[in-house]
Amino acid sequence: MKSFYTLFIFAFLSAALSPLLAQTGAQLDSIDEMMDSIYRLSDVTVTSARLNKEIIPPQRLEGKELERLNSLSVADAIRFFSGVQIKDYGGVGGIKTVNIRSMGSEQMGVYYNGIQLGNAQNGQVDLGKFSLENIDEIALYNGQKSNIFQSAREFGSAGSIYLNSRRPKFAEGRDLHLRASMKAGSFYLINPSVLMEYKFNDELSLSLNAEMVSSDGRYKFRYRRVTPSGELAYDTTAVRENGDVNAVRVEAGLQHYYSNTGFWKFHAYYYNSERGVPGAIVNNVWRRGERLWDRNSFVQATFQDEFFDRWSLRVNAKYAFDYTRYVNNDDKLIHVDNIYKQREAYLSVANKYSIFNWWDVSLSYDFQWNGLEEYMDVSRTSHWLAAATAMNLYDHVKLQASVLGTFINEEARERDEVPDKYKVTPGFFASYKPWREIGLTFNAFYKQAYRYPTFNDLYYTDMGNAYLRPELSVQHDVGVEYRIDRSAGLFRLFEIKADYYYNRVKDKIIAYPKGQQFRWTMLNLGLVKINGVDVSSQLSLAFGRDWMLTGKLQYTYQTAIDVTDPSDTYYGDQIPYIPWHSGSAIAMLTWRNYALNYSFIYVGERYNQQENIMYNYTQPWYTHDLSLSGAWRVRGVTLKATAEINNLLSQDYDVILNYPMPKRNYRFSFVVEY
Amino acid sequence: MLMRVLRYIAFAVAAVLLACACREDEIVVPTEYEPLPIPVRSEEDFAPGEPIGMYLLNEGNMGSNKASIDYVDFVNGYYVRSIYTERNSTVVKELGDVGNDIQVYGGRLYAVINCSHKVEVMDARTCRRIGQVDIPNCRYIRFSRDKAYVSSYVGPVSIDPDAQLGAVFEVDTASLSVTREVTVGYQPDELEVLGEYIYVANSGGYRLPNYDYTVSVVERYGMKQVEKIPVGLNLHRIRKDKYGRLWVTSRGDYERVSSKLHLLERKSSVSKDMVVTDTLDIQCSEFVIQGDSMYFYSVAWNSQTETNDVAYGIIDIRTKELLTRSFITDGTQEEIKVPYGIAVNPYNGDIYVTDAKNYVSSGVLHCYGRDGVKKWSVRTGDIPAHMAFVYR
Repeated sequence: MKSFYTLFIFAFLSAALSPLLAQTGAQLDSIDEMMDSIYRLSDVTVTSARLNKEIIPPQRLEGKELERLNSLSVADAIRFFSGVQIKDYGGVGGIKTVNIRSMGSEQMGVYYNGIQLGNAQNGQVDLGKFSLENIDEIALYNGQKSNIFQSAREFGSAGSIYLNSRRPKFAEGRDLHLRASMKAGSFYLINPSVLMEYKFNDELSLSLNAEMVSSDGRYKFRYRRVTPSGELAYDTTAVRENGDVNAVRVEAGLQHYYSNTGFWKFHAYYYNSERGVPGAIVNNVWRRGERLWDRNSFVQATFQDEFFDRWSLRVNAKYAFDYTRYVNNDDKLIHVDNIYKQREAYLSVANKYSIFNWWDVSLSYDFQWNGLEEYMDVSRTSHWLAAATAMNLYDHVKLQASVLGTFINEEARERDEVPDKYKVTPGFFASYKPWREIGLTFNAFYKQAYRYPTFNDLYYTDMGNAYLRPELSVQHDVGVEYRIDRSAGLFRLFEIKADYYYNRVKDKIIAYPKGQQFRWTMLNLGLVKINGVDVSSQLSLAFGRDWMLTGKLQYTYQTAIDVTDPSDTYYGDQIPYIPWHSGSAIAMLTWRNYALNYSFIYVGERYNQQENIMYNYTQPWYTHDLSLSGAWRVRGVTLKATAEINNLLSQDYDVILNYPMPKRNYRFSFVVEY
Repeated sequence: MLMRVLRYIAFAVAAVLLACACREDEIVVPTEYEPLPIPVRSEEDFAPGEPIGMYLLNEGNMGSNKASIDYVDFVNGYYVRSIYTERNSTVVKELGDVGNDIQVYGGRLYAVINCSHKVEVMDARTCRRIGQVDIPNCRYIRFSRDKAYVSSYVGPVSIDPDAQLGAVFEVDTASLSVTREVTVGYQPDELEVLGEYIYVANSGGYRLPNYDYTVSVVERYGMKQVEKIPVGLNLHRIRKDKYGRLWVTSRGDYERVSSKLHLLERKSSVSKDMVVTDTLDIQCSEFVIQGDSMYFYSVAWNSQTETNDVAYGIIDIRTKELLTRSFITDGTQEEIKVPYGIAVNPYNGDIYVTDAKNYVSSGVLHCYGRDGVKKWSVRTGDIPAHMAFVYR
């Protein structure tokens, strides 16, 4: 035990681990098995989507690991992935968007249970709105999911995030699973949720989940500045105002796994919120009066089965309606009261045919209709057609090639004729595993992806440009992965992955000034070259009596250079808000039913505008989070309690200039499960 | 094998940790002194009507809080970038968000900071802060008889929240407090004091496509709007000349109706009423009158070429004739992407033109001689726009 502290502190400086390596760890069951035995869970379902031939595995956070991270929303959890930059405007209700490998948030596809979440208006999905409460797994794929049995749209994003909601789990001999949780913490956060899962029979089950989040969003922040000679210039602490949020989420799922290969699922989602938009903190303005109401609802259904041993079919359908109302009540500004209504209808058919057991081909077609009403009247019909093939040569070489055709037709009721747009984009993925016994894998991919101009880009009042071309990103990636997985001994799991990538974003859609008075237009002007290295590693150790330590480390180095026009003063400069260095570290220590989790996030220096000059310099930020949790079982009921401290050292930082982030804050949660 | 791998990782981690910087104390926005290619002179050598310096207000992009004041020091031959933060380092969150106008009056420097809803008042010689006047959504400032008049986009709250009229605030320069307020047209921009009246150019810029087209006439004694003169679509600038006339620019609707230059004169030599006597079909974004010459430029978006059409010129204000299509004679106007401000040194005739470039990066201040030949250029803050001279 003496070396335990050393181990904890220097988990990532493995030099310090050397003396430990000589020790022989006690033969123990892994904590996960233990936890499972406590919960006594067993899966009813047989099919597992993940057994498919994924050529390049994603970065993944799931189950208990996800639970233990100090995260409230999906955005908080995604910070732990490498190659990801997050824009966080602060607080529970603040907008949180991500982009991967500097390609822009609009290039990211976010999939909820396999179907893309859309925002045709501005192309961005606010991940702060997605609670982790009902999410069982988050997976991040660079390029696309390298599994050919997918909908055509899934071949289209430059990067993809998959959010998979909980699949019903029942204790043996029970038909009902109940779970109630309550989270509370700083900023008057109150976050109760209930989950009910009911099993009609071994095939058919129902789940219902409801959650409420409420917070006044008031938090202290501090601006402290010194003069160049080191004297204190000013030091002021204020309270963030108008950052309150009230949201309700209700989800229902019905799933029928009727055979080893076939199932259908139905899912309904409803989210309703009201929030304040806290806005930028600038001189003489400490409070703003913008309010935002969001109502997002969708229903989606999936059917999948296999026929004649060789042909697999999946059908997805979705209908979504989003309502947004934006009001500016600030009496110092021009009054604004806008309503946006977006509708989306989506249908997808994916087919996979196994020619041999080592060679698959697939063909999928997607149709989508998007309509925007009230503020702008515009609609878009999109068709995607994708063909792909995948091969597995003796488990050594896996190959995949795909080609996607996209056809977009638009109708803008208030503007001029809009040209139709179509594009064909290829993708190639390969992995090579030289030895079957040694977990060493090499992989590479090449992919083109288009980002279609959003409704805002095209038609936003006085700013849109109906003649925009799609933005093209070309990705090249080579990577290597080494993995050891053992069920006994001191070392349980060791994994290291490294990727080098080179991306080019061409015809980047940027806002360009038309002249005086901040009148802008959208143009295909930008050209950005991105070079980067992502490294991630994971190590699990089992030692002592029932102790288990898991460490995860992620690091990204990247340059994202604007090479649009040599006459620009920012030619060759790093694009805004992309740090050269960023990374995260997680250490999880578990003993029986108790777990201590420590996480660290680092985002290095960066610039808040295009020019890399001192006036635009933004300091690095890094936060330390800590959580402690315990689980107990009392007469068939499982209780779980967690205490979290976030931003342990109370760092005063801005992720986005003039949007201060909270200082140290706390969160407590209590879960009862039957 | 594993040990070796671990050791490599340790090295890599250590290297990365060394490469990653830690946070340091945040420093107030730094000030830079850049020498200019102009002779260093003693302040005593400056004539009374010769400016010893020029302040330049950089607007900064909305939400960036990057409004800043630069200073061209004609005495010591320096360009001082961000002088405000050096002289006023204790002001929380610096100068503010979106500077919109800067003027010198009575030994004081007044900067109108639009999105910080204030007029910052400083000593004109030292740039040290004296105080501020809170005025919501303030736009431009003019002075007369120890009173400042500030136009604002927001007047009193109206019944229809989407049809809010603008206002002009009267500020007592001694007490730095608002004394009176008058409601004018929609989104008033520049204003001018001429005799007993204040003339306000109403834009209606937020009411597209129903732009305002009037100049509000405010009687100064009673602070009452007495008349609205129809002039042209979407008004912006309004300046008097030495003949007691008013030159007004209209922005047009950026599509069918182009920007124009309008002239207002008294109806007759005995009448107080101003009427539009001429409209020149010359696009004009900003101008400055020096003697009988009006130096102007225009920036207009050309949707065919997807570029800005930029033009420069000089107009003889007596004959209203266009004298030349360029006051920059050495061809260096090609360096300017988006001209965004103009000033003429009243003593030696030097012309100053600012370039706002793409509005989200630092701009450039260019200085041209009276002959139109470039003398020097210097990097400014973001969106350099408004200039004011200081004298001995």
